[in-house]
Amino acid sequence: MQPTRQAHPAGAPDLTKPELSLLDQCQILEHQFERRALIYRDTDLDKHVSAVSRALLPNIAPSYVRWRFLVLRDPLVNSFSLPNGTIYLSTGLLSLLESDDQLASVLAHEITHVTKGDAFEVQREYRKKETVRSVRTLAIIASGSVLGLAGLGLTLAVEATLSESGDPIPLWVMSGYGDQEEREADEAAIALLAHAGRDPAQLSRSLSLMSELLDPEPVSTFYSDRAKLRQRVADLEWPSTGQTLADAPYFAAAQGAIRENIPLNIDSRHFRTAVASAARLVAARPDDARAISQLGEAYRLLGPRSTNPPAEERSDAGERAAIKRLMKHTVEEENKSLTLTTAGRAFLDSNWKQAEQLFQRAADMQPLLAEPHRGLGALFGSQGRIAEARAEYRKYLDLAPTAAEHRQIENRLSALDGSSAPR
Amino acid sequence: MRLRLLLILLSAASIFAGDGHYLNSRLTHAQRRITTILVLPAQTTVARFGFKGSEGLWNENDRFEDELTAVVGKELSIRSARVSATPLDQLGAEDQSKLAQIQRIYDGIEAQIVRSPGRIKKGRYTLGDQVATYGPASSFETIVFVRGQGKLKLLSKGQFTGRLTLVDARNGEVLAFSEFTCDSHSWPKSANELESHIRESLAELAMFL
Repeated sequence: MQPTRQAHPAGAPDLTKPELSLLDQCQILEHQFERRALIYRDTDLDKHVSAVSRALLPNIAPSYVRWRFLVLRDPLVNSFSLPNGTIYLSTGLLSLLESDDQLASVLAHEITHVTKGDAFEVQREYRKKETVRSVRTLAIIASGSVLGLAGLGLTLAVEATLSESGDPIPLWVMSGYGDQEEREADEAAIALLAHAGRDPAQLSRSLSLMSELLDPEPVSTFYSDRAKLRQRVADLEWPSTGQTLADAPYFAAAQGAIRENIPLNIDSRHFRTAVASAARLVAARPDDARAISQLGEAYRLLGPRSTNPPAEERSDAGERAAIKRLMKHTVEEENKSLTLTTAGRAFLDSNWKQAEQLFQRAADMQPLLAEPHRGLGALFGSQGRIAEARAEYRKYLDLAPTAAEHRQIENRLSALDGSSAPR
Repeated sequence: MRLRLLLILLSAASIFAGDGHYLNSRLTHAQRRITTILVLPAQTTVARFGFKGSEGLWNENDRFEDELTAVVGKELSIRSARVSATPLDQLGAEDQSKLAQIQRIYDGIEAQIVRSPGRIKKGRYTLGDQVATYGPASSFETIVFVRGQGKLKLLSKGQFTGRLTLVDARNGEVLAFSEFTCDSHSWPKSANELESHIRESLAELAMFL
């Protein structure tokens, strides 16, 4: 049945009741992100993203659209738009992009989803499909009741599965639309980029970057499905030039988000990505002791892994196997099994040596910076160099007496007395 | 007669589906008592499933999360443990950020716990000592993570599946994990309806409180 059309209180043109409900839910979803401290606030970055988006925005938009660009604290490479005009970019995505043209390509793609009303279209299709499914289920229940006892069991079984498919609206917008919608958004994005004086080939370049992730990722989104990304790159009229176009204004604006994303990567076991991001920070700011210390920490936790994924992990089957291992084993178990191999042991030695040098360099450059001493303490603790670990932790406590990590370090110091190494 | 038997079997299956309690042997062997507990803000998803698909009940979810956190705190404090459940809106920016971090680390580990909860006994799961950086937990020895999914279905009772995980506040080791399911019409109106289910799921843990 076609839903009745109603005028939106804010003056939106002819929206149906479900569409109005979707807009309301989008606002609540934003509140949920705020409530869970997932929104990353950085005035310079926010201004920069708004400035890049300006030339891409249409002159006229439906009255329910209010363009807003928010950054989510999320290591997953992702971006999505809500039908009310709010566009989310993850810190994981910002850490991967290299230039304003690439940022513009992602924004143009998401802006197109909003202006085309893709969320409403997908909602309509979803409701239609679910209605058909429910009617079919009711028919089974009706026929089952005629069959008596056997029918009762069947009735209860089908009823239990009634309309339970899919994420609750509007969570599906976070993992992407259908292939057709995505392809159309790419095509429109290319036109928008050309019109705004941006390089359209950078859409292809940014999709290629997303398809070359360094760590296995169990959560699947439009931006992390390698096969789909490769297909989309192949479909684009403007192939990537393959050039790395790192630009200074983009990096200056995004560096806070990149820094923020490194510990998120580490917490999510994206150790290779953490090393790559921290190395990027250090390459751009060789005198930044904090970034050097972050790179040291990333190398320390990379431990028995290589900085690039091994050849067997680069195939689709290899990636699936890596994800399976990731889901099955804890990080401690994974470290232990890798360290038992010759290659793993060699990587461990090399990465820890690298970490120690980086921590020392950061401590020498900025003697009052506490972080390198915490890193050295953890590294020496893991290597069984207990006295040195204790000394470094004490230095850390002296330099950062009010740090939130105070209790953690004191716990580690007590643990060192029992010679148990921290993570 | 056979119909009655079938109904009993079906209802028993729904009562026990997903329910389970797992304790770390460090807790059971040492016969240690847990004296101080901090309940972290619950994170739940409540969705309505109808003829035209599913819909997230986000407004109701906020209220439900707050109530559930309070109910878990109340159930734990029935014993002699000192329990605190910090309301989310009373946290400062730094604590909120740390809280978001440890909730995220927990979500990563929980995916593994749900797959193989039996490994808790051997102390295989840990969130790492990052948990000790969360300021409000500094005077507690244990923290509790609360998760849940609620489903409201058109033709039947609502179903809520909740999970409670107790973690050592010093080193992040998972001490206990409990899962419970509640089929009832009334839980969406108030999380208090879940009290008895939470109490049951904490029953095995009670001797250590």
